[in-house]
Amino acid sequence: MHSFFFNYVPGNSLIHHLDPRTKLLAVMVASIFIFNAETFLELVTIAGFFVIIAFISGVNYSIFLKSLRPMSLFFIFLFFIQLFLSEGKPIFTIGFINPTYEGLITGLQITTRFIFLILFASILTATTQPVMITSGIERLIRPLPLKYIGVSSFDIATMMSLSIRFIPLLFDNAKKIQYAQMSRGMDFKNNIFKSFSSVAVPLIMSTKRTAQDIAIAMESRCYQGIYRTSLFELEMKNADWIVLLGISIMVLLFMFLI
Amino acid sequence: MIDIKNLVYQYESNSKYPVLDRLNIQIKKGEFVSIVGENGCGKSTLVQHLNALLIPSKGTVQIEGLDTKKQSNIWSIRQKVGMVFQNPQSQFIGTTVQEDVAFGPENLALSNHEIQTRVNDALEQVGMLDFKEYNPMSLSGGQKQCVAIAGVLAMKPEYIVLDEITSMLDDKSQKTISDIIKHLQKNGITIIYVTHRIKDVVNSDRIIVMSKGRILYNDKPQTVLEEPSLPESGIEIPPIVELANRLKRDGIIDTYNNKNLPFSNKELLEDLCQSI
Ligand SMILES: Nc1ncnc2c1ncn2[C@@H]1O[C@H](COP(=O)(O)OP(=O)(O)OP(=O)(O)O)[C@@H](O)[C@H]1O
Ligand SMILES: [Mg+2]
Repeated sequence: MHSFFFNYVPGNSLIHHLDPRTKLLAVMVASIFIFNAETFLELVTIAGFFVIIAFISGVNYSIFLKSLRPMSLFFIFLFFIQLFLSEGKPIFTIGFINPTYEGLITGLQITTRFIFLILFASILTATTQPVMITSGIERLIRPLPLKYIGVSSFDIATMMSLSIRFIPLLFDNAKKIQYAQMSRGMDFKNNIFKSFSSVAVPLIMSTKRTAQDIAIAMESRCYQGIYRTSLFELEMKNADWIVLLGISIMVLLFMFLI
Repeated sequence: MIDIKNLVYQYESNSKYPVLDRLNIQIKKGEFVSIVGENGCGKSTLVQHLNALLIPSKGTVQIEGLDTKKQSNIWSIRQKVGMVFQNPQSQFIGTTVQEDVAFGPENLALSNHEIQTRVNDALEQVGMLDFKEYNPMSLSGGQKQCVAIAGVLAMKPEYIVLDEITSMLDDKSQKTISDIIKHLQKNGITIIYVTHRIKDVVNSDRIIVMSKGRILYNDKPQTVLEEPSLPESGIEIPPIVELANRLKRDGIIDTYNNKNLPFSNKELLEDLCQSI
């Protein structure tokens, strides 16, 4: 969670200078491609795209790989679920444990897809400040008829930036409470349930108080959840239109080739 | 001008007796008013009425003639009266200093250019321009409060309420903040300063001493600090002031004739030398 949202690396590359809306749309299109990729060749092509785009961004590859780490348990889980639960020709059988060749293939496919999804998204987060991503999303969803579900695009954008801002604070608070409880003799190793509640209860209380405080602070600075402007004005430049044109051509080609 | 008439306030969840009991206060433009009193006497509750975060149970609060009870006045009142809170942790909204300072102007739907000018201007005034791109959470306590003040300044308020903003800070940061406050007052901004450190109030034009939701004293610092019953209101008086008071009562020194209260040993010594 931590490294994925907070891996922005300042830079001057073409990718950095693209409008966040262009990058958001590109990630969306990329994820459609990724989830339709089945053959080895298709996956390799996608990998090739990733390597090229990451190179243009000038961001060190290790940053992107790091963004996979928090998700690694999920990837492993996903892979083994497929491996063991798919029907097909067994690789070996021990009791009721029987991994299959089909499972191995789909496991690899699905895990690779998720890995690419995260990698492409991390190009977005590594080259775009969080505030730009949220304003990009705000602009993209502004035309939607959100008022029928009782929110505005501005509300959603503010909620997103608040979450980005408060997730680290939440982890910090949890750490602090845990240390405080440990210093009072709470045994975190042997008493999992009790130690969980000893952190969760104060954490919920303190989070609730912080949420109330922040709501007051926002109201006192005239936040109304209605139309507001932004410090950073989004502007589609020529490069953005060229990239979008390129993406559209690719999508069209792909649709006709199939 | 701020005009508080017969203000009574009672929290719904706390219904035994009112937290604020028939307060009458007037604050003129350009004034520097300090509000002091023991913990829980209602200072925060009072000042939250000044920008319509709370609405009186009885009585009225008017800002430049605008009644806080009227819903349509609320946003212009909040723009006129800025508020800085005690805990900087929970008043930042932005992930960088400049984003946070921009939050108010963004809500006022100002143009992009205007927002940028105001953000730079406000950060300049509190000496934090170099920290524009920083994460506010990575700053020191004193710097955080400077950013919080800038966030309010960017809305171009006429009044600024500071609710115990230095109570978590060391002496050096307190000095920085009090210099900023002096500078703001010089620029014509009315300051309402809530504190329980009597040391902070010497520079103010007026001190309001509260106790249990009522006003005990409302006068010039020199007058209030001489009140013999002041310690009973739970306010800690610096020993040096007590000593000066004592010496004056016994006719040994003649102090408080100007605004310079003896707040340090040196000042008292000078007063003593003069009288001898
Ligand atoms: N949200 C609330 N709900 C119910 N009661 C409250 C609430 N906030 C404050 N009170 C009560 O109102 C009284 C005055 O509180 P207030 O916070 O205004 O005092 P204060 O003078 O600012 O104190 P401090 O110096 O601790 O900041 C206290 O008795 C407090 O318990
Ligand atoms: Mg208070």
